[in-house]
Amino acid sequence: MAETRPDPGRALAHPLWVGAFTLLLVNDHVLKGGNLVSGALTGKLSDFAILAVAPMLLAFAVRSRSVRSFAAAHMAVGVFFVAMQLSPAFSEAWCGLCAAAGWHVANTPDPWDLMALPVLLVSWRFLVPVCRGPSRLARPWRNALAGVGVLGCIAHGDDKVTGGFWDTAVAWEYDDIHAAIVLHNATGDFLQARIRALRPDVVLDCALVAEDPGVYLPEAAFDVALTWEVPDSINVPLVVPGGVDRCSAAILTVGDGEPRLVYWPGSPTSRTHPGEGPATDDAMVLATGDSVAPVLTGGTDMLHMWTPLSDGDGECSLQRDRDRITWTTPVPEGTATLTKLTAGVDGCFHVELDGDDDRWYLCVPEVLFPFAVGDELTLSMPTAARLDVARPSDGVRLSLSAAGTPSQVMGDYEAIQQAPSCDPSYRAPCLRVAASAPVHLYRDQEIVTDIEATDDPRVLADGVTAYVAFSERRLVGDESCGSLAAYDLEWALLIPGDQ
Amino acid sequence: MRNLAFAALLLFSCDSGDKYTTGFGAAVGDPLNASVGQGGAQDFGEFRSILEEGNIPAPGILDDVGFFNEHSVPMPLPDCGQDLCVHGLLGVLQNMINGADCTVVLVGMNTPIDVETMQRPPLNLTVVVDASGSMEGSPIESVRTGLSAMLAELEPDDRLSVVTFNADAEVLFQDLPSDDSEVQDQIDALIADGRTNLYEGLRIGFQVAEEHHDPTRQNRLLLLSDGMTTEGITASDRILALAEGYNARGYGLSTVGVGTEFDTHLVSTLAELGGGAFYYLEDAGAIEEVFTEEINSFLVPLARDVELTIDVEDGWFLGGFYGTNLSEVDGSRVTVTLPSVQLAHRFSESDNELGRRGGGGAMLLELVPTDGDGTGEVGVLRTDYELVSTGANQSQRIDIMAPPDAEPGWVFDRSVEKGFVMLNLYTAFDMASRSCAAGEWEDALAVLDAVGTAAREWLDNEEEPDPDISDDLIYVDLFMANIEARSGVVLTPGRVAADPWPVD
Repeated sequence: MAETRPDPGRALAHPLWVGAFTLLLVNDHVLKGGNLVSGALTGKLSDFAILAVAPMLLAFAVRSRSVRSFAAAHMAVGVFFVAMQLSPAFSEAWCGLCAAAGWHVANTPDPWDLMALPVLLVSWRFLVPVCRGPSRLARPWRNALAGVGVLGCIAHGDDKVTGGFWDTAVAWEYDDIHAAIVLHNATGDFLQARIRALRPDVVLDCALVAEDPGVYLPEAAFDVALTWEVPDSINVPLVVPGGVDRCSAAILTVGDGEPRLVYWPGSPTSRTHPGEGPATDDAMVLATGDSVAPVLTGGTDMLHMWTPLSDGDGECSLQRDRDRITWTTPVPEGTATLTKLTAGVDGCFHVELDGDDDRWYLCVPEVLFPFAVGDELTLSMPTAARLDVARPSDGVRLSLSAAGTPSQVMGDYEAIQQAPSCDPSYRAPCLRVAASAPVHLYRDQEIVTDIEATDDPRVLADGVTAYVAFSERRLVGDESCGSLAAYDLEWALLIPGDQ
Repeated sequence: MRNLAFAALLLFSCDSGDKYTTGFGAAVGDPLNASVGQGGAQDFGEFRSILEEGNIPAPGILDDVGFFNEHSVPMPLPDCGQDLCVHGLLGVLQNMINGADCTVVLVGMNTPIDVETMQRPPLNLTVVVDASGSMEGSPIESVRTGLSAMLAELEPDDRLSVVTFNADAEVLFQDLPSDDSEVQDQIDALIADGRTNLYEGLRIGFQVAEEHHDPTRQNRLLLLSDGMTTEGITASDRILALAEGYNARGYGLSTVGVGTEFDTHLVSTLAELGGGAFYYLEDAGAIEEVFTEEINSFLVPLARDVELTIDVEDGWFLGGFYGTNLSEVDGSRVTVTLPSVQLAHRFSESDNELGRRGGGGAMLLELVPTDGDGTGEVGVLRTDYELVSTGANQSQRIDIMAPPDAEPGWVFDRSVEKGFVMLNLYTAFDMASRSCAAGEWEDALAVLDAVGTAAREWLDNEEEPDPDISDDLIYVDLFMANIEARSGVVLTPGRVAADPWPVD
């Protein structure tokens, strides 16, 4: 009787393969994320199981029918596994490939996982020989088992689950960490820490926020939580600032404790920390023998009780954007005749000038716009944040300034924003923690008048009309909707023709 | 002709106490019992689509106005003797998340006008279409198809204008009847490219509508956009001021947001301020149907400049307010200013063959008794409005009272219960999103599990099925499944959900 060719499908019915595959499924879909087994153990179990399952499954999938090709399958799995654990770039590429195919998997490269490699030898020793023997399962069953196996292996990932906004991470990646502050687990036990970093588009006025960070930051300023399972003596990034000298913050929740705010003032620069080992000087240390209720012992000067601001909280009544002085760009600079003027219901003029086909809008209170159809006007922009509209025939000039500086000069006058007189308020959905600020108007270094942004236009002694449209000191802003932090001052001067 | 939807205001207090309300006729479902809606978001499609894609909605995604508008709640007979009736319905209940006592007052508006006899007046309709680069391809093709389908729904007396915008706005055609050959030619020639100048598109659209204003017609705009505004005046407040200003002049605005890139808050608030509906469309393919749906829902606005003022009596603390973006809370007073109240799409709980959107609306006020036993006077609801049909100003007053003998579980009628179930579901979804954002997965599961179990029990005890709540439960389950899949966390048996209203 002729000897049959080796059939890898027979290996799929072997108790070793079935057991390993069952372990893989149970581990990935039951044990991980549960409380029965530690995260460290489930991660290792996956590695052992997949190295027992994958070689003969690969051989079956590519219809290998020789011992030499079985060896190649074991080699291929081994090389792949080593590359996944040693090369972040390879790991990332594989996960990206899977994601493109609709499988959201993740892998954290970890050289310690290579300890599972001997399992390949076990597979070679026990599974390859059975391929020559009689099958224990009918071919349709083996095909079905192989199909499920392929799905199980592709869907396999470590404890890091990604997708959408939500992430969980496991800290057994001991690579160096680049951060301003790291969290070091010195409890002698495994810990869970949930970290909510500041949203990348949120900007802070570092000087003002530093006065009392725990009361100025709303929940909406922070990203969704990244949950870390932190083994003993391991470091994880806690605060990763967006710029070298930029202050930042994070919300840290350890175990079942209350969330607390970590505020980094921006003085030490972000630097590289070891992924594992003793705490560095600027680490925040989870250090206690009581793993149930760990306490933070390092970096406590950066730790604050957190009372998140709610929408509407605060004393100041914040101004509306519709009060602002605004004009569209490009500005039709030069001299032209005003051919049509349409006042909108929103307080913006549609200004049509002879020879300009583009629609140009200027949002300014009607009382400050003395020009009429037929006037010859000269438009100019001395700076990017300044617009002058002048009527050469009589010298009347409207000067508008809208800039992010607390002191601005127009003509003979200087407007200087003062400190807010009320506690900041918070407004959503465009994140904004701010306080209205009064303005002092100076001429020849003497205070001429004090103006609030809500005041009516004020006629000064020399006949100049002054108006402050918007004056706000912003502690927290949102770049994604143009609400930047720090100073926000918009004002106007209507200068009569004799000046 | 379609029925009028309702606008509901729930006053609820999470505290034990016996309260009662002023009584009124309890019969519901009568043809002359037509409810009135506040407009704004008509659905919570964005929230649903995130769940259906296997993701978890971020906090703030669920819009309370849209969520409540996907629920139809029958109201008592409008027997106030005016064209617009305001009601207050009280119930003494327990919240469905952790069982704490809650007292609820549902305040709604409806009208005795027989809508079956109403005829839609002719339209002066201006459609403002985003024709920026992001609409290139199938989206603009869907707009062409949708506009063409809309032409078939227009009456011969209707007049149509179309304005497109990218970096600039262009009046494609204006004030033409739907059967004019130029209309179809211009629609067929629609193309998309360039940046997005929403302000200019909307402003030119309103100017076109104003230019052809006809007091015998409904003067309305329909805005469709799929992206963030990047050109011209970009401040949301300025753009919102356009809708508010023109609504005061009698121009309604409905809005359609397509995809995930547009500013949901801006586009939905535009509709609220414009006295119209906001539709969220997951993909451009649905553009076709929403054009005709919106046309078919146009009816005469019943009242405009509607102001609801709720003054809470001494002995009660005003804890919070939900259900509209058009309210201000000042101490013990809530003021809701609605530019107009109008019709919605659905006229009964089972009328959902075209989807759930347009079922009604609700606003929620949270009260806490600060002294006494929570009985007696709770508050006063005043309503002032101008009737569109006559221009007459009218006002009403409702005294909300708490009875001395009502036990927990006592409700005026089923409407209160359904409103309360809606509130609990909304609150649970919101709490779950926030818990997930903080990484507190099991807290999220606990609150969803609690509200799901309680809502199912409520459904089981109902004599009639409730398709709205049944549909909500699908999303409760989906939310839980997504959390479990993402986090690997499962709910520990016996885990107690957090208090939804801890201030109480």
